[in-house]
Amino acid sequence: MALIHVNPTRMELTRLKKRLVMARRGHKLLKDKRDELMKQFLDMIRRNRELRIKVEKLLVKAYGDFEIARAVMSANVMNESLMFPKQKMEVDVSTRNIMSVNVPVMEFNLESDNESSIYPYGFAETSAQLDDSIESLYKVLPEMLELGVIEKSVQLLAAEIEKTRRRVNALEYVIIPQLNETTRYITMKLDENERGNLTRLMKVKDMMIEQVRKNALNESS
Amino acid sequence: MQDWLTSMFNGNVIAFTGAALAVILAGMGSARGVGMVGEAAAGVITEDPSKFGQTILLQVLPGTQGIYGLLVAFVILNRIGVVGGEYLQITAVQGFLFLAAALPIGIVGYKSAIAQGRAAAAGIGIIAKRPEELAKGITFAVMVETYAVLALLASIIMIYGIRL
Amino acid sequence: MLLDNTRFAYATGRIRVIERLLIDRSGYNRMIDAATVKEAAEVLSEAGYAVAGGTDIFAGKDPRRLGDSFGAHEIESLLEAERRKTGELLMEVSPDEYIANYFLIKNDYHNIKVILKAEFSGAGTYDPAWLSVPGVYEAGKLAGIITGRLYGDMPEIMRKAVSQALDIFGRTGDPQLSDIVLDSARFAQMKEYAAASGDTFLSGLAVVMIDMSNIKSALRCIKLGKAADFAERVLIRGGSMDISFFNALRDAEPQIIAEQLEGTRYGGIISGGIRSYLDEGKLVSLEKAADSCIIQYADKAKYVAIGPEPVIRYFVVKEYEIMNAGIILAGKTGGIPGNVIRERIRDAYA
Repeated sequence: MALIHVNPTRMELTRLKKRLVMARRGHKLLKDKRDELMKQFLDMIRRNRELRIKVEKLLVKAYGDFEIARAVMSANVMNESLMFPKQKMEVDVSTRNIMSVNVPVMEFNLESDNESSIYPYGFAETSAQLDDSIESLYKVLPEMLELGVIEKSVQLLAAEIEKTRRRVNALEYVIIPQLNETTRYITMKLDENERGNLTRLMKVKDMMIEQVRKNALNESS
Repeated sequence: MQDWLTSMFNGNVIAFTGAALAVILAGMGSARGVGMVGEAAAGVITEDPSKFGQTILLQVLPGTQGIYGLLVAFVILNRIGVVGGEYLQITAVQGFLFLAAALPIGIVGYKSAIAQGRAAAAGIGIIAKRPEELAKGITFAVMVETYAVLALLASIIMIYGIRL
Repeated sequence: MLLDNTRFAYATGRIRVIERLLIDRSGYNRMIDAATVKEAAEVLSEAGYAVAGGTDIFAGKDPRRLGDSFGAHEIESLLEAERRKTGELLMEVSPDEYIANYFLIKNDYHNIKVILKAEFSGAGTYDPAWLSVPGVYEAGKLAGIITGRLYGDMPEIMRKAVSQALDIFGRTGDPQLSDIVLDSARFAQMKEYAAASGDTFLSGLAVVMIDMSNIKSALRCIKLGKAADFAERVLIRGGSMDISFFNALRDAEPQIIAEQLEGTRYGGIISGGIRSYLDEGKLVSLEKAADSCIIQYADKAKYVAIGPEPVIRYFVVKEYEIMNAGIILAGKTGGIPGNVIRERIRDAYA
């Protein structure tokens, strides 16, 4: 494990120790965040799956009916029938915060709730299959919008989870071990210095004792 | 007035009227018939010019009534001596007899020519769809001819039956 | 009568020749059983399609790559070209304007709808390809008349319908209601042309077409839960069945509806379609049955040697032939199984 290049001083050691405590705390927090995000993510994925299956089923039905209608109606009549829409719909887009991730929220409201008034064409030229198709599309629209919201949220959450996991891993496998290693290195280095000092002191003491003894001999002679 | 009426009921005038009617009615019928078949044939030719030979065969069929009408008129005129022989002054009764004799080919000719035209136009339809069945189409149209021929026969017998 | 019919000698003669090109049951089977869309479309080429104006849609296309290049768009333009060609033929052979107008007025009302809807949307523009030609009136002229509100040259029914459609859209903002006004006017005008032509066969056809439209619309209104006053507007006047007959169906039990409709003169043909609607809630087979009624009415002219009937029959059958071509080509491109396509196509020419 690579060390951080630091001066092995006591001050540095205190600094590193502080960093280590912080890293540990951060690691724990990020791990909790990751777990919570995962939980949310799994819920959403489940809902996403349900919705997607439902939406796809409705869309297949809508397109199936549309295809029959298109085969029995001429292209021009089809174009004319769907030229001018009857229903108007408003969509409000805002955001919601999940674990500091901003996910979109859409609210939509139809101008008219009357379900039988969604067909913008006369009956004499058009096929009843077109009604079925339009009805399926009308029903699938709210769910399609919800699906859009959820799918985007899932994407954003997934990115956030990925980022958090990378951070957790970085803390767990790089920063914390590095800090550990470095503090250990500094401690060892300091201990080493300590031992060197001690030895030197002992040597000086020995030398001083020798000196004193020599001086005493000289005086007595 | 009296003069005018007498001259009107002059036998020769009435016989001429008969001859004229035979030609006019039968000719009109034939013209209609031939015209109708011609139009139908033109429709076919517009789409398929190779059918010309076959359609022309059908077109001429309703034309015979006109010829019969002319034949009857000729025979009448021949009897009263307008064509060849000596010009005869005939009585009003004789004149009416000639007129009556002209009626079969006139009326039947008119009707049968149109009927034959319709049959022939239908035959054109056969040619359009199944050229190989041309003979059958002609047969149907020719059947109508029978009645024109019978009328012609009646007219001729009647004309030769008139005593002058 | 005799005098009248002979006017159609030329038209009948021409129709007799081109009638041979109409696709019959075996032709449709060949199309349905074809391995590729191109093979199916070849049957159409033999039937004279895609030769209008000398344009060949297959020109320069590699048959092996046809799956890519022969898509929905090509099919649509092919069919539209054929519709146009048929309309032009109709104008050419029809000895008087009424029979041609009877069939072509549909295009005019379609064009009016396009022009009006473009105006409603505020943009005022539309793709000229969306207009159906030929109409009784030239589409550009029609647009000028409507945008300028200069109804002078329009027939009475059309003029009333356009101003009524504008008025009702102005009040409700509902394009459906304006369409419905125009649909009714279209049928009224068809009836008028049929009456003016003096041809009882054509008048009879108008009645059958109105009846079929009414039966389909009545069931659609019931299915969609439309209000009574809406149903009143959708139903077309002038059919053989009274509006009150359909009104009575509104609140009836399904069983009663079926019995009532089966009791009409179309009962035998539409019975299966009604049963399938009551069982599955789908109007597919009823729509097919309704078209069968129209085709079978036209087929009564089969043995008429000369007159307007064979001409009328040809144009009715041709319209459904183009529809069938669309059903088959769309089905083949979409990979729909042959037996399903076979169920969907309308009665073949015989």
